[in-house]
Amino acid sequence: MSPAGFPAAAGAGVEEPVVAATSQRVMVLRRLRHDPVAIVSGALLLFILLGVFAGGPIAEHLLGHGPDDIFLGSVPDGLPVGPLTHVPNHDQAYQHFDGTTLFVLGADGYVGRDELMRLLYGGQASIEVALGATLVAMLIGVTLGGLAGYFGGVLDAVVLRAIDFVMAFPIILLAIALGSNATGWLGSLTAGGLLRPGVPGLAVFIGLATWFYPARIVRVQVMSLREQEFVEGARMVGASHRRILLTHLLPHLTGPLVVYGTIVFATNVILEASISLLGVGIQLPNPSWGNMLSTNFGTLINLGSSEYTPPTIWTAIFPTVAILVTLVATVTFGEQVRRALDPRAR
Amino acid sequence: MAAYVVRRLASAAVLLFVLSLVTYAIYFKIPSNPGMYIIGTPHPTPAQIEAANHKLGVDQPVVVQYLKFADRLLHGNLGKSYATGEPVLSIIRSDAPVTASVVVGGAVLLILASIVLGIISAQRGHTRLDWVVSSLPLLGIALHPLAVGLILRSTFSKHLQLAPGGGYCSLMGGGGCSGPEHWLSHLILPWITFTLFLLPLYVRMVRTRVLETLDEPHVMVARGKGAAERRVIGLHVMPLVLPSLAAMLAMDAGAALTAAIYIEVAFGLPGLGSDALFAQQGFVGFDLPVITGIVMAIAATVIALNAIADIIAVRLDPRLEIGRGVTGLR
Repeated sequence: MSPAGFPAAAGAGVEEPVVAATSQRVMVLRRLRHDPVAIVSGALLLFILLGVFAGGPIAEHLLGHGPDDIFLGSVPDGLPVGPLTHVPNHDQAYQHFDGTTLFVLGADGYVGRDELMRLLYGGQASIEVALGATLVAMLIGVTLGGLAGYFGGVLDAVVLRAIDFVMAFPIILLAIALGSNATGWLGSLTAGGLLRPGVPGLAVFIGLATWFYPARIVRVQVMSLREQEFVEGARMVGASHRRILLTHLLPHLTGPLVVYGTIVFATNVILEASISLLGVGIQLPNPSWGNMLSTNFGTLINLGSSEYTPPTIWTAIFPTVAILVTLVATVTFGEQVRRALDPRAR
Repeated sequence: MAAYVVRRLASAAVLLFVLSLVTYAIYFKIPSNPGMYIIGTPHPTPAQIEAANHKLGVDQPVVVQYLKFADRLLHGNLGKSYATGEPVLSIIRSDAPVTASVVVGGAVLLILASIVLGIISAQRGHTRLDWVVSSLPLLGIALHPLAVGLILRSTFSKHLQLAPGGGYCSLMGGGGCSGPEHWLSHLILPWITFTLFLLPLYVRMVRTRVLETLDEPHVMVARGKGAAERRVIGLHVMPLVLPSLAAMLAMDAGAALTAAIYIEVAFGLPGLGSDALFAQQGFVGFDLPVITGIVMAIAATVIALNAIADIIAVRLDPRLEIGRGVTGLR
């Protein structure tokens, strides 16, 4: 294909060598495809998402019980059963016992629910909260950071003070203080049944606490970008501020934002766990990785006692490992994307 | 310089004012029925509710309420615990040293570890060692500090018997156990937990800054004059890396104190974090004065630390005054 406007054959019978321009997107994807670490971490991430969102209902169908079903037989002698135990089935009134059902990862604690089911459905809640919070944080952060960096002046000063304030505030303690008042209201929101109970409220709360991170990054980036020639050029031909921000500056930010998004996501998973752990985030009986950790936490709060034994080590290990694997996969994938975006950067 | 200090302190004052507004809102405005918090019975009569609301002062206009609240704050009165009746200020005064010990000691260990690992990682750039040093700490952020704390505690104090089982011994005087050696032995595991939580980001930051600085002309000159690697790093590179490290630490003060809550719980340390948690799990319900008092104290500390860090940074490098101190640049 020859460039438009030029005759195709200048020299008789000689084809021009075709050099297709490679777009940034294609190059990044190509680099990622050749990066084993990116492939492994990306596949792991996909596996976790599929496992949690599709695997949850499938496992419920196969095993025949849900995350909130209580089986008295799963806590013999007051201790939850270990992994791969068959637990007797019973009806609501605990009158008729009929066969057994399999607890793949054992029971979740004194109550007697299936740890695997709670891990899968709890993962849905945790990931939904973290993703939602990341979206909220990115939306606020990019908007405020972009405007502050672009316009500077008073707006910049106000945004910076706001960043200082959010950074200074002990978010967990705020969650406790708010949770004492607003838990009922937060816990009942489901965004029209689309998300698990408590997810939207908690996501917005965490997003409001973590937007400062993308905001700082975007602000500094925009400050340096706005001095570049292409912005000057756009301004010279009469582009509005809105057009410059949205069509000239924003595309330069998407790459870094994807990468920082993974870090904010990781932070938010930990924050969800931290808040639900205290009993003010996702409310029982709805599972989340955070309140699953609290199964252990409940027995922990005997201050000064050095003789502390968890009821069973499994209830602490499973949610911890789930969080660990998810975060390592996310952060590693983000790091590989960063390298693919800018191979020379160290 | 003087103008900058005034400006920075003024903005810190504004932040403190906003902080008092938020705290006030949590304290009095968000609860739909604040009187219920101080009534002992679950089903009070309307008269009891009215009396309780009058006692808390929530039947007065909002502005009056806030001014009274602010007046009490300025006089150091943070209210009394619903549970024990102890003034919140005295709770904070007695337990803040525990939290400070955890955070300050942990920060020192964090700085040392991140400098050592960051330099190793930068010098062995893109080797397997570099990869291990910069990837392993990933576990630090991916694990909850509470989980790390519990694992360390059960491994080192329960199974290996190398460390005391938890609890706190004051540095000086008082209590059953005290003195520097007990203080140190009870705090080593909390410090390690704290360090692991923040280490990955810090190692990466030191590594990047060292690599950047190694490319600077003055380092090339030092190398050209035959300076040894140790001298290049110690004398020509580190002085440029340390301010960024200090600035990052000041910014992370909020996150650090959050981590401290879980570390205190994991090791049974009676600090501000455990206080706030107990206030939340007490038998009388939420002990709001204690929680908001601790929120106030911690946030005010972080705001003050950030202001001090900015002022010191501008003092060290006056070019920053044009911007707004190091906290804005990362």
